[in-house]
Amino acid sequence: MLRYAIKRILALIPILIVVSFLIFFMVRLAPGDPAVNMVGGANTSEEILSNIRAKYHLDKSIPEQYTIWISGVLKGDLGTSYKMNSSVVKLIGERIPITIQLLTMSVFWGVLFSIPIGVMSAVKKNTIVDKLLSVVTSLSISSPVFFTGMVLMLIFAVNLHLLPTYGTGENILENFRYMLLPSLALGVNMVAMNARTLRSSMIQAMESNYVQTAIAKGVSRRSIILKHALKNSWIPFITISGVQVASLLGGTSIIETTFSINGIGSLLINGVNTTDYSVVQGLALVIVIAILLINLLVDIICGLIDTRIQLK
Amino acid sequence: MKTFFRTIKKYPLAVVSAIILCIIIVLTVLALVLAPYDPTATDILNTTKAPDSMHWLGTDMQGRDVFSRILYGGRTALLAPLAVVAIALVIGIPLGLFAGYSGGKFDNILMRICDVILAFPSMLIALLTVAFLGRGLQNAIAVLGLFYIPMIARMVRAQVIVQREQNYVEACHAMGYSTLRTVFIHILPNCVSAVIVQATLCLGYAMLDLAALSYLGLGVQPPMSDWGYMLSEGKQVLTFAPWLPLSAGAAIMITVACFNFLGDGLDDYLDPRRKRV
Repeated sequence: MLRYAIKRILALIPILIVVSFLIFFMVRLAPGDPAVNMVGGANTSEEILSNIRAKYHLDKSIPEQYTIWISGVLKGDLGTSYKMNSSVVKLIGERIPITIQLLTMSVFWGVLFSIPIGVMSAVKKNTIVDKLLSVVTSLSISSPVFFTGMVLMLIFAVNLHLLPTYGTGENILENFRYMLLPSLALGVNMVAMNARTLRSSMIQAMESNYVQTAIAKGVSRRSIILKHALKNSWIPFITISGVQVASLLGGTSIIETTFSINGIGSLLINGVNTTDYSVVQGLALVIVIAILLINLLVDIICGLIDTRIQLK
Repeated sequence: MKTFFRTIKKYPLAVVSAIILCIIIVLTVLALVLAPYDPTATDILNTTKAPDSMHWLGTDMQGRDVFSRILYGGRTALLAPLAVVAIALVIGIPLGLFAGYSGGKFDNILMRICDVILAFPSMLIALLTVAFLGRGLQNAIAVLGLFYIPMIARMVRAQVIVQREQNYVEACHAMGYSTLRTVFIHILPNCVSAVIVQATLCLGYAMLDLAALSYLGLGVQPPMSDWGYMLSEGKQVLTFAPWLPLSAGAAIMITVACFNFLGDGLDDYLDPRRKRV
C-alpha cells in the first residue's frame, strides 16, 4: 500500500509540471500592462513603472520569469502579492484554515443527508417515497449555490436572527456558528449526486445472491439493509464523494464571496478582480495540488476498504 | 392523442417541465410586448419598492421594474447556455465519433485529455480563464463551451464503441463506404438520442455556471439584464429588498430544474430498453 501511494505521488510530478506551465502562461494572457495595473492607472512616471517591473521581474522574458517563479515554488516561495504587499504563502496560510473548516463542514452535511436519502430510496425503490426524494434532490442541485446561500441567510439570519448573517468569528469554535449556513448551502449541492449513486449501488447489492441468501436464512430486514447491502455499497459512494469535494472547491470561491468569508476562495476572486498575478497563480497551483491529492486519497481509501481492487 | 396521454402519465415530470420551459421561452421571446416597463428605465422616486399591483415583482435599487428585467434577462439567460452547448456539440460530436470509431492513439490521447479536464471543476477553470482572457459574456460562453466538450465527446465515444460492432456498420464496410460516410450518415443518427439527453442536461449545468460567472462579475456586464447578474445586484439589497434576488434565483432554479427533469425523462423515453436502476 505504501509503495503504491509513493508511486502514485511520483506519477503526479509530470502532471504538476504541465499544470504549472498552463497556470503560468494563462495568467500571462491577461490584457494590459501588469505594472500599470499594479499602481492603479495611467499617469505614473516611467521611472516608477520600471522600478516595479524590476522588483517583480516583469522586465525579463516570459521563460525567464517562469524559471524564477518555479524555482521559488520549489523552495516553498510563491512570490509576493502585487496588491497586498505580503508574501503569497503567508496570505494563503492565513486563510486556508477557514476554507478547510468550511469544506469539512460541507462534506459532513453532504454525507449526513445523502446516506439516509440514498438508503431510503433504495429500500423503497420505485415507490412514491423514492420518487419524491428524487424530485427534492434534483431541485436542490438546480439552485445556484449562492442562491441557496442567500435564501438560508434570509431565513435564518435576517428574519429569525438565529445565526450571524456573514463574516467570520474570532476562533474555530465561534466559526461553527458563522460557517453553518454557507456549509449547508455547499453541502446540499453534493447530496443529489451522492444519494443517487448510493441508491443504485444499494439496489444492485439488494438483488445480489448473498443478500438473497441472507433473506432466505431469515436475517432481519434491518440487518440486511445496514450490515449486508450498505457495507458493499461504499466504494461508488466514496468515489463520487471525491469528485464532489473537488467541485466544492470551485464552489467555495462563490460561497465565500456571498458570506464575506476570508478564505482562499474569496482571496482568489479578489486576486482575479485586481489582476494580482502572483496570488492567482499561487492559489491555482495550491488548488490543483489539493484536487490531485483528494483523488489519490479516494483511490487509497477504496483500496483499503475493498481488497479486491488491485492497486497497480 | 391516446399515446400522448399515455406519455404524460408515464413521464409526468418531464412533460410538465417541457410545458414550463415552453412557457418561459414564449414569455422571454414576447418580452417586448409583455413587459410592463422598459427594463432599463430608472425611477429614482420608486427604488426598492415591494411588489404591488404596479410592479408585480417590485423594483430594484434604481427603480427598475424587476418583472420586466426578469423577462428581458431571460433572453440572455436562455440563449447563452444554448450557445455554450452548441459550441460543445459542434466540436465534441466529431471528436467523439472519430475517437470511438478509429480507436488507437488518437482515442487514447483524447480521452486522457478529457479525463484531466473533467477532474477539475469546470466552474473553477472557467473562472480563471475568463478572468485572464477578459471578462464579458462572449468570453464566458466561449470558455465554458470549450470546457464542456469532454462531456459530449466522451458520451458520443461510448455510444460509437457500441455501434461500431453492429451489423449495419459491417454492411457499410462491405459496401465500400468511406469512413466519413459511415460515421456521419450511418453511425451518428444512432447516437442522436443519447446526444439529446446529454445536451439537455448540459443546458442546465451551463445555466448554473454562467449564472455563477455573472454573479462574480465575469460574465454579463451591466446594463444588460440577466438572471445571474440580477442575483449579484440582489445580494446587496438582500436585507431590505429580498424580492429582487428571490425572483431572479427562482427563475434560474425553475429553469434548471426543468432542464434536469426533462433530461432524465428523455433518457427513459428514448432508451426504454435500458431500465434505470
